[in-house]
Formats: sequence, structure tokens, C-alpha cells
Amino acid sequence: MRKGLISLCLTTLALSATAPVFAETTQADIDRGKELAYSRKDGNCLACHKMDDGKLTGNIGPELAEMKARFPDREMLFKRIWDETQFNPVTVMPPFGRHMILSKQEINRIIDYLYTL
Amino acid sequence: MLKAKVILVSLGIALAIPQAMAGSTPEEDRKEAVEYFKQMFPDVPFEEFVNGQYALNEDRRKQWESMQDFPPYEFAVAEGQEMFETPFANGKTYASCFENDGIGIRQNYPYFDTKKNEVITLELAINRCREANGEKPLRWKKGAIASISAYMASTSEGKPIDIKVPDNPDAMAAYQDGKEFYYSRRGQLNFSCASCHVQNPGKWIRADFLSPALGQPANFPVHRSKWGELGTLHRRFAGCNNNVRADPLPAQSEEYRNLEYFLTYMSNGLPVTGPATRP
Amino acid sequence: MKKPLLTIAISLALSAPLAVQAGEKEDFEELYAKAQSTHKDAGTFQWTVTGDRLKAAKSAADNGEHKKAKTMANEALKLAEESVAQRKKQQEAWRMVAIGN
Repeated sequence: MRKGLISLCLTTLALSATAPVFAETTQADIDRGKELAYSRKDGNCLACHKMDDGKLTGNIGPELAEMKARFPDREMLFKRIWDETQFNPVTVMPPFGRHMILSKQEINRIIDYLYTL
Repeated sequence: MLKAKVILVSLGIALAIPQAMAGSTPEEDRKEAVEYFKQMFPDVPFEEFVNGQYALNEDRRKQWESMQDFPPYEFAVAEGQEMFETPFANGKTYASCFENDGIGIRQNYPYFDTKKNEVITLELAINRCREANGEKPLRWKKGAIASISAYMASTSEGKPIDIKVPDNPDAMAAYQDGKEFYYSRRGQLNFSCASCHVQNPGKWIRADFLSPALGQPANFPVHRSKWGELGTLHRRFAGCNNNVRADPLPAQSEEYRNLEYFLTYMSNGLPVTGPATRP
Repeated sequence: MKKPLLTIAISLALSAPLAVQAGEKEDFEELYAKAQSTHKDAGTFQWTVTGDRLKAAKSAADNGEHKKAKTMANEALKLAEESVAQRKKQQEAWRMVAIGN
């Protein structure tokens, strides 16, 4: 019960931050992030990226590994998932945030998961 | 040129193409496209591009070759021939509407009709033929129209695609319109046709292998395992649009006909191979 | 003396939520109409998801679920605005990866 309350508080904290600098990440956040990353109708990251234990992955984008080392700045990673066309106008990566494919919270959960890779 | 552009763009240099210079001729576009794909796939002979993914992936090719003894579209082609040869209520047949009685002409479609000022696809010509002879038009994407089109394509097997853009501002505009459609990003996922088939052919998007733009229309109508039947090119256009969460346009709309015009022109010189099979 | 007052009080209390509902309904209709016309502005660049939200908004409104209807109409409007932005941007941006000028 208390755990539930704490995680609720943390989630609320994470939800209220636009691009949170740091929020305590729970296992539930990571699990939700993986679910969103793998789901075809949400992130569908596997369509283009090899990652983790994903099956039948595409190879249009680079493999998603060592994410914390490659993107030490969480806010930068958030911005690139939000709209990669701002960084590379010819990318085929969908602007997940700008086009409302994923919400801010959903992108944050995916980042929680990506940082475990 | 394409690579140069991409580099310029990635360096953040704004592209300022003077309007007077913008707009190369269809033939310049086609040659540049052939060169682009040749550089991308140096080991693939030009004529092989009509086989799409089977020209680029050995595993897929083996699966495909094992299907060739009993192609799943055979029955539809026979059915198409029967419909093609069966007279309408007025006693005339489809042959009366086409050059050379409709035999061996697939490679000339689509063409730009300078009197009607529009692109005429083979399927459009089939339905206009029916209407001119007092018959109801067929539904556009599958079924009887795909079978008739498949039969007509089969009589043109191996003939080089020969699309012409006449020296006429309306024909040029139709071609340009199709070209713009091909390269414009659409849908919530923000993909153009070119995002996959120019920028990423030979790569996997999940379990689907991306084919190059060059040669794509040569094998239509196509029997897809996913459909379990034959479908027309415009059915495929609609499916692609839908996949990227863009509202598909109606089959045989002006936009899709212009798109077919541009795309087929790019494949000039490649042999007609329709009907064919795809996953 | 007390009775009419009570009646007024009761009828006020009853009409308040109705007034709020009527206001919500007007808000919804304005929002829905705006979403629809923006979606139309996208021309050949319409998104399937916008149409889905519009349908969901309409059926929620028909079922009297005004809050859900407004949420859906609002999402439809935002999606439609992005599709219009895409249409405008692509008028030039398509050239970026085009073979030939």
C-alpha cells in the first residue's frame, strides 16, 4: 500500500516535469517503457532498431545499446525521440512527440527503459 | 546529386534552388534514379530490379523460386482471359477498346491523354471500356479488374516499359505532381514513399524487406500472401498510406494516377513481369 | 413565504448542472467544428488518427459523455493542426531527398 503510494507520488512527479532532469525510476517504469517500446501501435522501436531481446527487428536505425554512455544528457535523448527531424531533416524516424504518437510521459518511460540497455 | 543534397542538408546548409533551375526533365530524373540504385546495389543487373526484394535478398529469392512452379495467380489469369474474351451484352469485347486488340500493350500504361488532359491507367481504360459499352464499372482494387489486368499484363511479359511524357505542360504537370507525391512525407508517422523505397531499400522494417523504387510497378497486379489474392497498384498505394497513418486516397483518384505515371516512368526500359507474387 | 424561496433554491440547484452541461455542449460543438475544418484543411495530407478521434468524439457526445467528447475533439484538433503543418512543410521539404530537382 505504502509502496503503491510512493510510486504514485513518483509517477506524479515524473508526469509534472516536462523533461525531467532526474526522477527516481522504478521497475514498473522500466517495464512500462519496454512495453511501449515493443508495442507496434506505440513506440514500435523494433521496426527499425535492434535492441535487447527484441525478435524480428528492423535495421533502418542503429542498434539501441549503451544508451546511457551514448546519451548522457537525458534531456537531449528526450528531444531526439520527441522530434529527430530537428536534428536530421532527412531522418525517417517519426517525430514521436510532435506528432503525438507518444505522450511526454510515455517517452519518459521509454527513456527509463532505454537507460537500462 | 542526391548524396550531395543529403550532405548539404545534414550540414545545415539551406538549399536554395533557383525556381528557374528547379524541375529537371523526366528523362534526367530517370537516369539519375537508375544511377542512384546502381551505386546502391552494384551487383544487381538492371533488369533484375523488377523482382524487387528477390533481387536483393538470397533467402527471400529461394522461397520465391520454390513458389514459381505453381504460381498462385494462375487461376486468376485464366479467369481474366475468359472475361476479356467474353462479349458484352452489345456483342463487342474489351479488344475493341484497345490498340492491338489489347494484346501486348501493358508496357504503354499509364499514358497521358492530351485530349482529356489526364493520366489513363490500364484499370481506368478497362472500366471506361465497360462503360462505353453499356456495362457497369468494376470495383477498382481487386477481383475481376485485377484478373483482367493480370491477363493483359501476361500478354506483355518481357516487353520493356515505355511510358512517355509528351511535350505538353499538362502532361509535365501530371508527372511533377506524381513526383511530389512520391517524395512528400505523409501521415502521423511522417513517411514518404521515398523514405522506404529510395532512402532505405535493402533494409528490414520489422519483418518486411524494403524494395527499391526502381522496377516496383513492373510486377502489378500482384498476388500478395498477405492478401491471399491479386490486387492492383492502387490497392498497394492505399495500403502503404494507411500503414503510415495517412488517409488513403481513392483508387484511380487523380493523385494516385499521377503517382503511377511518375513511378512507372522511372521504370522505363525494364520488362513487364506482372502478375507476380510478393509476401 | 419560505416555500417560494425553497422552490427557487431547488430550481437553481437543479439548473446549475444543466447550465454547465449546456456550456460544455457548446464548447464541444465549437471545438469539434474547428477540428473538422482543420482536418479538411489538410487536404490530401489527412491523418487516419484524426478521423478516428473525430469519430470517437462524435459518438461520446451522442452518448452524453461530454468530458470524453471534449478530450477527443481536442486531440483531433491538435492532430489536424500537425497534419496541416506537415502539408505546408512538404510543399518545399519533399525536394530534400528527391532524385532530380
